[in-house]
Amino acid sequence: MSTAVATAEAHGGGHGGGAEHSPHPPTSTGIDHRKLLMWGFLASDCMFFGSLIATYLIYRGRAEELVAAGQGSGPLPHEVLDIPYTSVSAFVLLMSSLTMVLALAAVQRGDVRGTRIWLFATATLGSIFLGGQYFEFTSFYKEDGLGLTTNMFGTSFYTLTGFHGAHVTIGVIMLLSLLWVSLRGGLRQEQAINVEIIGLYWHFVDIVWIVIFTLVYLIPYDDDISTISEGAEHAARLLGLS
Amino acid sequence: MVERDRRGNDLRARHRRIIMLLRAGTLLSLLLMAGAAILPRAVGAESPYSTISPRTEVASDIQFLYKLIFWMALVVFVGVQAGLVYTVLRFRRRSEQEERPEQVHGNKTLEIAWTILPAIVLLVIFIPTVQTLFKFDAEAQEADADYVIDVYGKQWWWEVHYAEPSDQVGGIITANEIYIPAGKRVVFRLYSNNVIHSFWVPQLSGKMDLIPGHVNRLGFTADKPGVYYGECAEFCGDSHAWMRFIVHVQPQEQFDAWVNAWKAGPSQAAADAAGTGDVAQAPDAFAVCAACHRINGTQFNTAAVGLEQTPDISKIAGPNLTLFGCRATIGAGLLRNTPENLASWLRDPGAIKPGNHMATAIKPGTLTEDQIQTLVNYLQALQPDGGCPEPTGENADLEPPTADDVNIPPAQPAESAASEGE
Amino acid sequence: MATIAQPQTLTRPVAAPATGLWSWLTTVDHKRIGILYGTTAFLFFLIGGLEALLIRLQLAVPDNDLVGAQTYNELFTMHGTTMIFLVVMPLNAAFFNYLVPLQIGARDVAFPRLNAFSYWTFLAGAIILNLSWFFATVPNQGWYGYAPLTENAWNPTRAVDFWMIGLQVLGVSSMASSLNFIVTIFNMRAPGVTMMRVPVFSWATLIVSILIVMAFPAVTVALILLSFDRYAGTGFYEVAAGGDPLLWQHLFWVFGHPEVYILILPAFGIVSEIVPVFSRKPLFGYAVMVYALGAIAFLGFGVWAHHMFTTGLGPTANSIFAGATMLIAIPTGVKIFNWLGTMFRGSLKFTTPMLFAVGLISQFTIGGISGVMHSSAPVNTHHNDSYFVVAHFHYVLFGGSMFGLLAAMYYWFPKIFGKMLDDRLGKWNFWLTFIGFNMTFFPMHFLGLAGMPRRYYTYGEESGWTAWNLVSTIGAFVLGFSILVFMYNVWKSLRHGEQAPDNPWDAATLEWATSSPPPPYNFARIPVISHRDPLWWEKYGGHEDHAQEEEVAIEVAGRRMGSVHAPDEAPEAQAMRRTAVVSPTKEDVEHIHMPNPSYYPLIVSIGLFVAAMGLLIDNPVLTIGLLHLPILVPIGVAITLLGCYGWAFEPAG
Ligand code: HEA
Ligand code: HEA
Ligand code: HEC
Ligand code: CUA
Ligand SMILES: [Cu+2]
Repeated sequence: MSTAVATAEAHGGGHGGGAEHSPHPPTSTGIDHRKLLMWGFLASDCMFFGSLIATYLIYRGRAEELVAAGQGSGPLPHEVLDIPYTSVSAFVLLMSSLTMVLALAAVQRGDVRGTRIWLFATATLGSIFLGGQYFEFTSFYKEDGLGLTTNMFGTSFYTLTGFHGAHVTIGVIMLLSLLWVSLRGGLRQEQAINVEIIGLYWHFVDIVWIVIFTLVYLIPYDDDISTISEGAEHAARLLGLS
Repeated sequence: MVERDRRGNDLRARHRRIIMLLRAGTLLSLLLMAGAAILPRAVGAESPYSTISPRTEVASDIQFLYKLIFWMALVVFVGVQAGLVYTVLRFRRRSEQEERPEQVHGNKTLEIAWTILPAIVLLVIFIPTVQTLFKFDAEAQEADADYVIDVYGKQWWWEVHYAEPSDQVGGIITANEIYIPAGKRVVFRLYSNNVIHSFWVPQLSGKMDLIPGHVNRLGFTADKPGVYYGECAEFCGDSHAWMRFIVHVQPQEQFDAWVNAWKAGPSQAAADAAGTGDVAQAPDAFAVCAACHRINGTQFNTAAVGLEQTPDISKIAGPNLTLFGCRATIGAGLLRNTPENLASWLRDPGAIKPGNHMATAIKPGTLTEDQIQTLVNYLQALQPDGGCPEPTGENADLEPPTADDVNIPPAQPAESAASEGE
Repeated sequence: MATIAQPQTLTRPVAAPATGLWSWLTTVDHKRIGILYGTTAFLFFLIGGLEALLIRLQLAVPDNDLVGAQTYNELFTMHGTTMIFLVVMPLNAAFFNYLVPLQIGARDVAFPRLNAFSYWTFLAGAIILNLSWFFATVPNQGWYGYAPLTENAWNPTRAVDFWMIGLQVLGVSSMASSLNFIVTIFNMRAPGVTMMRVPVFSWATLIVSILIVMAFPAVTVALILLSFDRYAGTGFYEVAAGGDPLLWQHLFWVFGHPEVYILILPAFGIVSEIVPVFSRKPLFGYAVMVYALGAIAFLGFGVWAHHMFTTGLGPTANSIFAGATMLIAIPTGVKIFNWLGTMFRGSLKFTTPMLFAVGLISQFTIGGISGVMHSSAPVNTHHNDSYFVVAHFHYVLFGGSMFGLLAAMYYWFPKIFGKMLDDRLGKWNFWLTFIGFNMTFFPMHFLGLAGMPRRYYTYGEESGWTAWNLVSTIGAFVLGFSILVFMYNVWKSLRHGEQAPDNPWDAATLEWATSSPPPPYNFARIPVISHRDPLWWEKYGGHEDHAQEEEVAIEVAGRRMGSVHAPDEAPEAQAMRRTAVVSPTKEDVEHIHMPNPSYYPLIVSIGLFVAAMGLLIDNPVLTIGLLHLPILVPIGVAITLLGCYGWAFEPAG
């Protein structure tokens, strides 16, 4: 930066809303505008998934209760959930976080080929996960007869995992767009920030899946526990929701 | 030359301001005194729905808490407003004043003080709040309750099933008017199978919601016999405003008499009035009504009681009409129970009560004027032998707060009355 | 300002701002977007107010049949929804937009096109909601739409859908603009504008934006679940399917309570700007005021169930939520007392903005206190759903938010339109509002105590509610008249008003350092500041007794300011230097790059609008037979995607 204040200011750098001007517009915090935007969005998305997950937990076990009371119908979670199968796709998604890190590292050191490879790998792993979810959904629907409106399990399960899937889909589209930009020669070292920002999103979506996978698949649907733990059960009872 | 004090302020202006303050203060206190004198009336303590004329211990506890908070709040209110008025009057800029006041940026001590003081006030409110909450909870426990009554909120009326003690009152079903004995702890179990309603008899207790899928409980002991007015307090659709009810608190003997009368069913007089001559026989015209209404002790005792979870059934089931002749109102508080009003109700229930589910079956012209007259005579006569219980005690002399002036359809001209349905 | 900015060539306006409809449709200038927000919201205020007047007319006398029950229910639903989402929130957004960049010394917001998108999407949502009047399926379930009254079984027409989808679209708008402001305030502060020098109004903007970002997802999810219930046949809120209506209440109020602070905190910010200026004293306890804003926002997330005291949560939950609710009185009290502290020993001048600001301090306190009364759960079992609550929330919403916004309108009008509003008319406006407001809403306390439930379309004479209802109705018309006075004042001033100087009130914050109205680029040179209240520091110099203001951190991460010696500068030296900020030379201006206008934000919003309408119009012609897909939906989505594509590849300028 120039020492002559007046000129430095007259140019106004990133202050003219010209965020898109240069890769690193000078900002008061030193954090890129779009990166901060993404952080804000992810904070919001935490609340979004928080609400969806809370809904799932509140209704976790409802289907069993109704069936036990002779009012509802199956299929119930333990009849349809295929933990080994989903573990594999969860692992695939986890791995995609690794390739995402590699893609960022590549673009940051100016390795164009590496960037493309790892972006492609990430998008592919993400797509495999989505494919896995597609087959999971269709098999639940066709073979087990679990539809969105079949029972509260179907309703809350498809809603939660479906919204996660939608997030992954958007992520894959963004990754492919990056790849496309890179193939057109537009994704240089200076634009690494773009990869970083989409990487943030991608890791977030991954972490959310770990939470969902644990709560929806791993923790057993014990007959007499309608919520995952004593604590959660107490909380739900306190709020009149158990 | 103007007089000035040490800091150079104009003394005369200052005196003027002090006098102004004094005047304002006097005026304010006069206003407050006048206000205090008319306050209870002004705030509607005489309304049958008044929240500040408690008639049970529960309601008095709320009143106590409310008063405590009110006085605390008044202190805060007067403090803030007085401070504001003083500052506004005292520190007005005189037009000639050019110099800037001392630039104060804050004061730690003061700021800590006005953080702690409200905290203390709040603690004083919070402790009795918690105590009262737990007391109410105890009051609503079914164990050791003298009576347990199930109340079902409907669109837009109340169905009442007496539950405990089952050997005395079990099986009694009524609507919109609830009889309870004085001096007994009564617990209401609150249900809904449609939308959310809220059960509120301000003079007897606070309100409690009726929520599908939940059973809420509300309990109190009403010591003073009387007629207490209740209302639905949660928005529940078109006729939310006309989902009122009445709680008749009666001395035990009278209550027992009412229980027996209900069990005995309608009197011979009713049968005579209807021209059937047989107590167990309601007029034929009632057949169309029997899809939705029951009258105990007659052949029309099969309509659904409307507790089903399916919306369709829960919509059409209507109030149990046993002893309907004793009801003070028609349509959950909408109209006084007079022959004219009842006739209008039967002519066009939909025009009288917005959204009325009865209107899905009874439209203008569904009933002939003759049928209407028969039904009116019959329904009005659905009373126990020896007549209905007389209102006594609190509010006994009040007219029920019905609508006096709703758009009541005129009697149908003879020819159109004959045309079937619509 | 006029006094310091004497020397040097004054060439403004350097570039005449573009005019014409197209320039408004494609504008990305935060000031124009602010004006768009403001005028649109005011229009909806008139609509919401008209609905209120109809409500009041219906209740004026017992057994009234001016409007039927159905219409009445539609009126209060639309009135509440309109006032909250189409009036107070966008009016706040109007001032955020106009002022925040100016206050922090920036040329625009961080994402100017996103900002335009926020406005157009708000407009789309507002139109969707109000189109329901033309389709004769007006939302009728109340502004908080409790399930299961919103479910198909109980509300089979499209009424609820208009509300549900309209709110969803509005949510997109609020979310976009909030993220934008968060980034703007964190990232675009001019050199020297440290966080603890950010004007309190901009602080309020930041905190409100964070509140929106964190609170809206809850209602978004609640509405998504509801739309699944209504469109896909799930049973999230249906007991028969295993659902629970209480879930709606929790999700809604997890949003809904923070929402009320979203509505009030900007007004608190406004008062914190106005009171010091007309007291000629700096804000008392600036830091504490900022922390109090934060504390209110934070606590606001933990009290939602105070709207559910009568749902049978049980004494433990009720105690916890009652206590948490009461806590909020503490930071709010701190704000009230600090304003008093600011005025105390000040030199108070009662211009119209000051009157409204002081009016807020006085009237909001009444509403706050009745809030504390509600928070005692046993007492709440009487107050809940009665007119006592209606009184409470109008005291905080009108006596708080609207008073604050009216103060803001009088205060910033000269900056925005370059004309002064008439102060004498302003005083008429204030006193009429003050009287009308109290006459309308104070009696509602009495009605509540007399047991009048809210949302009753009529009542019988014997209920004993007649007299106060009549008083209240008359008051509402006085209030309406006062709004007419305001409108006349605006009209008159725009036509014949006297030209406003740059800093008519001798205010202290940066927006007053520019011309009135400011040029499109705001500041010819980005100002460098070294103190809170920079214009006062410049004009009147500092005081020895506030050492914490002397230390200056010009080195802001990412932008080293090299040899700037702002901290040591005498006020006069600063003034000289900043003269260039206001009075640019030609050369200065030629170096400024402002973002280009863009129509893509508008296109994206139109796409959203079309898609949303597709879900609402039950016209068989507009649905694809096979898929039962409303055809407008894919068309709208396609427009949106096209717009996004164009947006992404359009050079920002
Ligand atoms: C601007 C909007 C706004 C604001 C700021 C508030 C502020 C508060 N509100 Fe209000 N509220 C609403 C808007 C708002 N509210 C709305 C719209 C509803 C109804 C929704 C609906 O049902 O439609 C509602 C309903 C509502 C309820 C539920 C009532 C019911 O339906 O049963 C409750 C219950 O606790 C409540 C409490 C409070 C409290 C404690 C505060 C506190 O934040 C107030 C704090 C302020 C003060 C207390 C004054 C200043 C402080 C001092 C001078 C210090 C000393 C004071 C004391 C020690 C008391 N509010
Ligand atoms: C910021 C929010 C806000 C504002 C500003 C207002 C403003 C007003 N409100 Fe509002 N109100 C709510 C938010 C708000 N309200 C909410 C959230 C509800 C709950 C809804 C629900 O239950 O779902 C509610 C409910 C509500 C009710 C209760 C309805 C019921 O429960 O049955 C009533 C009743 O009187 C009422 C009245 C008024 C009045 C008279 C005004 C006045 O202040 C309006 C003043 C404005 C004008 C008068 C219009 C301007 C002038 C003109 C149009 C020119 C023409 C005028 C003349 C010629 C006179 N409101
Ligand atoms: C479709 C069902 C249905 C039919 C058929 C029907 N009713 Fe009703 N009736 C109702 C419902 C529902 C209500 C409660 C309406 C309300 O208050 O909102 C009601 C209310 C009443 C009331 C007022 C009860 C009270 O306590 O306020 C009377 C009296 C009454 N009906 C009489 C009749 C008669 C007589 C007939 C036949 C001619 C009849 N009803 C046919 C459903 C029906
Ligand atoms: Cu039932 Cu309101
Ligand atoms: Cu709240």
